[in-house]
Amino acid sequence: MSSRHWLPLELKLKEFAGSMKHDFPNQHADYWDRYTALLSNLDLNVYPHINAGLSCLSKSPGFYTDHGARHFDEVVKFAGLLIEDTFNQQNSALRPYELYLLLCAIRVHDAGNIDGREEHEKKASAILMKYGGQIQLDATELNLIAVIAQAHGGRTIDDDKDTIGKTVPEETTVGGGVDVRSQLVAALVRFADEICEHSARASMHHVSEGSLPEVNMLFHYYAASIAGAKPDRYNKAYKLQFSFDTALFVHKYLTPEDEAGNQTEKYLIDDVWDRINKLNHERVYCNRFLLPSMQTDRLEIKMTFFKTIDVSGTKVTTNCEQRDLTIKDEGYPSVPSAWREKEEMSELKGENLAGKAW
Amino acid sequence: MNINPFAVSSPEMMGADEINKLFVPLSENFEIDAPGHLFIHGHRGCGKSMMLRQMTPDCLMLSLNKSLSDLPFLGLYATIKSTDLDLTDFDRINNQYAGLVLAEHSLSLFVTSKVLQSLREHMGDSLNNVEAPKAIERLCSNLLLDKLRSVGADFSVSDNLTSTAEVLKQSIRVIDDVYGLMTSYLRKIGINESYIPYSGPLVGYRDFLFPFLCELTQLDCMPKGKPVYLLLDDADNLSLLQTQVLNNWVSFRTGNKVSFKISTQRGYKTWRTTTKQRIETPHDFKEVDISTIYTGKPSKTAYPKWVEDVVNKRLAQCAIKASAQEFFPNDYEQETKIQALARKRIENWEVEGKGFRPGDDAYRYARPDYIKGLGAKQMRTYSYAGYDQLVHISSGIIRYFLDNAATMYGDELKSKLSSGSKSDVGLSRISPSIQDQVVRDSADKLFFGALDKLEKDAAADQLGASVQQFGQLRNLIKALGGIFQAILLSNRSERRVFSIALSDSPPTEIMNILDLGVQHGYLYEAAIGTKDGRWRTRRYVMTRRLAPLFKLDPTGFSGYLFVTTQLLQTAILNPSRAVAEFESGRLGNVIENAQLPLEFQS
Repeated sequence: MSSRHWLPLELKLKEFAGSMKHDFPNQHADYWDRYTALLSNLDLNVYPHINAGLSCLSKSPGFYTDHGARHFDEVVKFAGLLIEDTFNQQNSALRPYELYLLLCAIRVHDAGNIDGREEHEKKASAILMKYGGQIQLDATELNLIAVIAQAHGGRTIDDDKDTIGKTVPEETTVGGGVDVRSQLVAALVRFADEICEHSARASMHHVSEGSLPEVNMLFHYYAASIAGAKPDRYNKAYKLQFSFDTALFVHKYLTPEDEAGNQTEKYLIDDVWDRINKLNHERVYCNRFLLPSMQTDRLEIKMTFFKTIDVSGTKVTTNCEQRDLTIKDEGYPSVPSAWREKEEMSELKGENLAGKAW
Repeated sequence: MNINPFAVSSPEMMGADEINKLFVPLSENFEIDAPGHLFIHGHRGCGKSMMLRQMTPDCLMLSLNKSLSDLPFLGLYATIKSTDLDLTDFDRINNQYAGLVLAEHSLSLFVTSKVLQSLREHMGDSLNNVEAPKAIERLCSNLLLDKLRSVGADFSVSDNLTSTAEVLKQSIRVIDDVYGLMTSYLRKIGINESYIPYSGPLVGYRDFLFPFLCELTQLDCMPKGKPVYLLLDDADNLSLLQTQVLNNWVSFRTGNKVSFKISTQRGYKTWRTTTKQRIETPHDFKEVDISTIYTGKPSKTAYPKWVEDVVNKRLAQCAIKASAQEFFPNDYEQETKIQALARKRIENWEVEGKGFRPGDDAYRYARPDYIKGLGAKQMRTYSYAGYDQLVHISSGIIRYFLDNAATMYGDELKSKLSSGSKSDVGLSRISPSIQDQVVRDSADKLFFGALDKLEKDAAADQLGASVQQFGQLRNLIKALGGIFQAILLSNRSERRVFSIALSDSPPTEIMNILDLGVQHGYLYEAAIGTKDGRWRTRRYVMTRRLAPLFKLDPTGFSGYLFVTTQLLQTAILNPSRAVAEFESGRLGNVIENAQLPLEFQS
């Protein structure tokens, strides 16, 4: 592990684990050791085999975008970008144990893919049971990390996407009287994972060779089109830069089968808008749980369209068009009003209170 | 041997055949058999357990004459006793999250174990074949045992099981052993201050019980593709934390796969989930209060009719050829005198009548007139015998009727035997004097013995209501009984008063006493319009089981007493003073309301 390039958030944990032991549930334990032991186990036994597991063991076998070790590093990096510098602001940052939980949860959130794509988010607990190291000796900590990690996707048992609200405790106290804002941590895992999509996750070799399986093209072409992606915390924005090869706009591509076994065809650009729409949904959803210092209020999208032409036998890339798009919270918001119909509100109506003897 | 037709057994101990013979469906249809979560509230003995038990497959197969696989749902019954769960141990956990996770773990294991037990006991012979044991063994192995192994449980199982019962027994043993690991941990942390993490297996509803229940009805031997109904009896016995966990489960709208049908004795501890969300009706669940099914407006005849069906069925089972009315005759001499008074009222109605119809006056005043006419010293001679009076006295709770009837049957038999009858003598009626004595003893026990026991329990239980609160409840009941008696003996136009309505908003301390009364069956709660008609207020009806104690007419009421906080405060501190102040006209106000539901009016 000594040769590993530690990311800023990880270095922050190392610092906390050494200097703020009383902010962890067990002040005698070394939480940096605990984290690195987990990571070491995952590096050795899980990460190298996730892409193969995804390819072969998923219900729809194929060539998936990269979900290996680099993906987990990237999510740690993006989480860091979302909360960078907040540690200097009082009451605006994660607490030491929350940071530990965040990093552990990120490290296992997609690890279940090793056994195939289906319900991978539900397998965080099983991964920790096997490779958690010291965490295996504390079943309730293991459970908390798993609950946070598992809320990064999927649905609840009654088919609700509100996995954070329905399955993660808002705040809880763990051993040693340490308070944890578990929904906040879960929202960070979820949003960091959501925005961690860019060209490095596509296999550029297979994209350029055009040798991808038909059903996997759309995923790779989408990722390949993202030239840059970065949260801009100071402007509360998430910036996405697309570089579209117009040649990819010509055809429709197959989508993977849905749960009912249906398969459709889609143009790349339509798929992009569907994904942007989902990203914006996730942004709004996660904002509900994030601290103000970590929230984003817009997506800033830059698009460059290019084509490749043949000039005297040489392939030359030329820009055709450029467009900008900002999707942001604006206008008078639409908020749920069902609270007013709730049972506890039913008696609190003006006409009723006017006649009540207090 | 002479079998007591009114003996009451716990429904969980009864066989399907017995349930099928004795069960009488409630008159009110509240869609208990429809998918969706449902809470059934009601006092102890009102028939909740019987209703749930009747939904298990062995009973349903008999009543619907269908095979297991053709049933409309798979009902799995689990009763929750306070001694089943080591509740006190949870209090030692100061690690809130660990407490929450362990509560989920313990409840998941507990209910799963009960579910398997119900599969063993409530399927009749349907699983005694070649295929079922294999299918159930595969399911238990894949979804329960493998899951427990994956979370670190270490156990061995036998491969040579041939019957479904053995397969289920083995899984129950494993689950109970895993449960034991947690209780050992809880005891360990109780004596140690340092941080001791729990390192045993952990499971939850979503990853353990729910998938198992969903797959259960995918088996060919089960009602395939039909929902599972988890019939949880007496959920009040769960701890606060476990109640929150159960509310989490209810908050998932999984009715098409798994529905909870939960009974409570009005002591359900919270409607919040562990994430502090409140589960709401009708969004998350429906609820029905059986105690009020028979006290509401549409219930004028429903409860007496239901009791009559139950009694007739039980009498027929014992080959007693008498109807309920004939078996519990009234005091002929007394009723003749009351009827004479009623006739006199009808005759005088045109001259001095106060009610809307001649029958109104006759009904309202004849019986109170008779009691009043007995005078203070002779009031004790009023007889509470007769089927109709006994039904009213049971106050909407069938168990009260049956328990009294069972005692009466025993006493009557004893009396016959002592007078030289043979031991296999068949009874054809219960004498009015025995009926009267039993309900009087029962009222005494309720006011003295039962309250004494509650006070004693309160002294031992630091968390529940205090001894002082039970003392205040006793005072309140005493004051209300005294005031109702004073009203009965007065010259007021409406003298049959059994309930109070709040004319203002009493402080929490008083509301807690009223709630305590409701919880323990001394009072029934309902709502009513205020005097000015603009607002609805709470109304509390005193149980008619106490009618003999306070020498009241149990057969109905049509007035209610509007009370202020001041009267209630006086009542809980000094009942005699409250009665005296009411009689001198300083406190309380009796309202006659023709629109009021005439509960139990015959």
